[in-house]
Amino acid sequence: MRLTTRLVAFLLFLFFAPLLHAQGITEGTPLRPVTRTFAITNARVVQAPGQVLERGTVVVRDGIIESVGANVLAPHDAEIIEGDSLTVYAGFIDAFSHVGVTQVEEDEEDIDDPGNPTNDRAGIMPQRDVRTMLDPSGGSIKDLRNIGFTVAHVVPEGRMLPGKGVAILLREPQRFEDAQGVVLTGSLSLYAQFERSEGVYPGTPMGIMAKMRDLFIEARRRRTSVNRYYSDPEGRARPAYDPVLVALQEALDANLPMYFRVENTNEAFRALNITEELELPMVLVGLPWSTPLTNRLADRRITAIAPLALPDTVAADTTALAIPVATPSPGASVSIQQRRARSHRDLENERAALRAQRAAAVGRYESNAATLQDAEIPFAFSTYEVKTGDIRENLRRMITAGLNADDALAALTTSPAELLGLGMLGTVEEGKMANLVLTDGDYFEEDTNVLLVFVEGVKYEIEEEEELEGADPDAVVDPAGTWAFSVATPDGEVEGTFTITGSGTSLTGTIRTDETRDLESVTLEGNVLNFSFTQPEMGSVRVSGVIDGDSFSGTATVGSLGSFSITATRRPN
Amino acid sequence: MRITLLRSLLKYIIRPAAVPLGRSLRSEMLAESPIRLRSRALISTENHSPRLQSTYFNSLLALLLFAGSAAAQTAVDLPPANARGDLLIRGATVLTVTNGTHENTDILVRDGKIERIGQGLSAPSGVQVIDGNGLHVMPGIIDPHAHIALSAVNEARNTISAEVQMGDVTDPTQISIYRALAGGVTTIHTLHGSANAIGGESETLKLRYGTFDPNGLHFEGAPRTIKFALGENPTRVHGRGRDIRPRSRMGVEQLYREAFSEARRYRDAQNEAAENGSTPPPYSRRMETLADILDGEVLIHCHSYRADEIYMLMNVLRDFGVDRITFQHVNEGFKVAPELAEFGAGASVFSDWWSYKFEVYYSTAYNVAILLRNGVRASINSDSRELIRHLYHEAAKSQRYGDLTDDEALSLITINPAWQLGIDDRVGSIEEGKDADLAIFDGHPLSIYARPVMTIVDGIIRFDEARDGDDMRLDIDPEAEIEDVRLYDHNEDSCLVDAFVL
Repeated sequence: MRLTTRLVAFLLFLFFAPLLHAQGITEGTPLRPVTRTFAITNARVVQAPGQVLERGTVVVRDGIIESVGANVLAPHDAEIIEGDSLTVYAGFIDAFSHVGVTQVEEDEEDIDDPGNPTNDRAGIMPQRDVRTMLDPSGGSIKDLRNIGFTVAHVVPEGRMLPGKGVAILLREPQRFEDAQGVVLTGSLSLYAQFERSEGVYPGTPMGIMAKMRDLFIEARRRRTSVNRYYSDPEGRARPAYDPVLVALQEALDANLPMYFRVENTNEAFRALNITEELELPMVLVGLPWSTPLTNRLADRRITAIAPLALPDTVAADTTALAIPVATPSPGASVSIQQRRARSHRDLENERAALRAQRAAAVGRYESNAATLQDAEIPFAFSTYEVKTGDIRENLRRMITAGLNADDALAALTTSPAELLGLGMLGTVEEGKMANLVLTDGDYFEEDTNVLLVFVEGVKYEIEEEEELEGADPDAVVDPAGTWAFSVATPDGEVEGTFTITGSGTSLTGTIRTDETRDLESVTLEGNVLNFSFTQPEMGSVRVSGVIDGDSFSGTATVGSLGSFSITATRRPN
Repeated sequence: MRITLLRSLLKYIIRPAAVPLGRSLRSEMLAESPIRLRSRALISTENHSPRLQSTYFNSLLALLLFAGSAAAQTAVDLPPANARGDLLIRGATVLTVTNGTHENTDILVRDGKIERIGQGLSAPSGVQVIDGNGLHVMPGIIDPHAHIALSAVNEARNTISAEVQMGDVTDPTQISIYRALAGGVTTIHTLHGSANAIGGESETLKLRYGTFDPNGLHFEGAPRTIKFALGENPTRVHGRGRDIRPRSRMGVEQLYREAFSEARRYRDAQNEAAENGSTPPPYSRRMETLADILDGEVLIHCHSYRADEIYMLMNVLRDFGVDRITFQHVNEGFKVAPELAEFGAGASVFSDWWSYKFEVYYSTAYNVAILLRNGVRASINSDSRELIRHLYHEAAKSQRYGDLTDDEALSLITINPAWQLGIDDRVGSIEEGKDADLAIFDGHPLSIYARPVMTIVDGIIRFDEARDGDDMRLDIDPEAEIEDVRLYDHNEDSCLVDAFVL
């Protein structure tokens, strides 16, 4: 490989930067920190939901909370974080997620006999282990960590039975660390959903139900046949080895709960029915409105994982109603008696009545967590299919709809810790893993900022998303072309080119410095172009900048080394 | 004060009955459906305890406060599926179907069952009273062939899909259920589509609209039933669609013979393995169900049109010792009526619907009368979310064409489908001890002028025209501006939903 002098300089900088900056307390780095001991002094410590130490010190050493208390002294070797205006929470746990999991291209080839596909083609893959599918270098882990999440229970993407899930730490792999370095546990879950595989059997929810019966009944029977054969093979045919049935047997032996993801009450009842019939332990994931099922959930002591996603708010237009709606606020249901419209004579009224129904439905979804809380059904939260930027706002909407702040916090900390069997997580107590969230106020208040997050004792500073100069979400620009870029580092300029192809939402690209690499997640929001790429020595690099004609300027964020300014100009065709 | 309130209430809710559009009424029609002013306040509470009186008074007040809404119902206000009601219907014309028609008769319902039928019955304390003056009460209508209340209809990747069960995909929130109730229907048999020679197990449902729990609709103790399909649908989906057997009616017959033979071998092999501890063949719910058919545990309901293939299936079943079958649609049933009667098969027809594809080019509106006169237990089915709302019209048309008696015509949509589904001990007629599933009309249900005004399931009023709300949806999508709710599915045969999504 031939390296230019400048590239050598840049790489040298990258290697030495951690050391250069280690003395600077502002640059928390997972590489070679001077100290792995921290003391957060005089902070308000929410040790557990409802259990607050108004003024205390938390000492973290080597990834563990060494001590917490009002009279704890900071050790001499600790980096002191003055917490006078800070609140400390236990790091949040995402109870069900695909964060950091590589998306696998699903096989959707036409086959000759769609009634009898292979298990893989049918989406039946309980033998798949999410640990082999991790890619924690993408930006979504950082985004979740920036709002306080430190651990996630992750499952593979897929269809009917996509595989088994584990808990991971929400941090990027450290230098020379394998992607699996973030794994915290062995298999915790068997993931199931009513997701059909295009074009083959089972193609409907009833086919999926039938297939599950066949699979689990046969898995249990096959175990008996296998045992019988190996104890006395004479006169018996050897039961065929089937990786799917073996995986199901192992899940049954380990009493691995089936995390059944559903989208509505109909699917939820179906999931409850099949797991009850097949006697499978179950966790109900994703149900946006639980009221009709609370009795069933309570009877079977099923934990629910509530979605953090919510439908958009609907403004019920009460002025159009002849009889005003008494309680139009979200979270309250509106009686139809108060909005009866004579539809054929009064379209405005009918429209208003439909909107009011919709607003009431949004309100029911908003009060889902409160419903679970009031029915005393244990629940945790999932970031599945929610925009990270909406999570805190959605939590506030749920609290407005009746969720207690303490229960909201429990659903982010202690409840998922208990559900996932992660006793070392969920509270700020001596001996627990040092997963912490430091804020400048009550987490559930709108103005509160998350300032620092600790993941197993590693400190991450949360910078406020800097508004890029000249960013305009409504601008229309074409990013396609080859751009010559230059990154300003303290050791001089680094140059290269990147090429963007495609348009709209399907953008791809490559970047070339010493060699050519593919760009990941290329997006364009107005005139802001974002992309990232992975360089083995540096980890993940995220670039974000504004396009103005043929010039581009913004920032390149290199792992935990910090941000550097980047400029580029488009080459003429 | 109270009298004034009542009077103003009545003034608001009394309205003239619908007058036929610009026609002069013949005298017998007048006799059948007199134009009259009828109080829509059908319900009163015959109770003199002060507490209940005041409750009643309060509810009247509530009615007045929301004048213009007349206490419209919402779907979520409906009682839960496991509710069983108490009612007294007083002074109605009672069409029992199995035991004649009785004028000025009372029906007492306790705990969801018909406790007594007679005159001068008194309402036990707290029991709701329905003034039946001028009203006709018939058994709740039973539709032996529907595809509503389902979130999937066809599992169409195999020619035989006996392993799937419609009970797994019951959707109790569909508005079609409420619309069927508004047509006097209380029980439906909801089937797999007709894409496959053998579809899935069907489900018999009570229309207990108002619940989100699918199990709440399942008719407890109803026998297992399964859908078969002959003719063009399976040959079209699989034969022409995928170039596999069955490409012809002959191929359909061979599929049945092979499937039954395989199921017999499967069950023998399972039994043998269980006896001598050898390795059993892999569990297959498909084979289990087929073997259960051979054991007489599952009733067959077969989509069919042509006489030759109807006769063919009877021969196949005879060869395999199966004796319970109802042919559905069966438009050429009249050609093999004596054979159907001899076999003991049921027949469920359309009154006058045919010529919608080649194999059903030929039929007659006398079909059901010919079947009945030959001793075949016959019924009428909807197979449609639109037709299901007026099965009483379909019965009346059959009467008009075939000169049936009132009871014969009504039996087509009550006791006969109940027999075909194996639930005639529970529903299908108004008899003491049976379920209080009742349809109340403001005239004789076979009159074109009669309208269903109230539908009762297990003694619970699930449809009440006087309290019919604007928006009776149960499940409201918070994301949809206007939901796509259609009565007709144009260009879509409900029997073939999902069949071509290959």
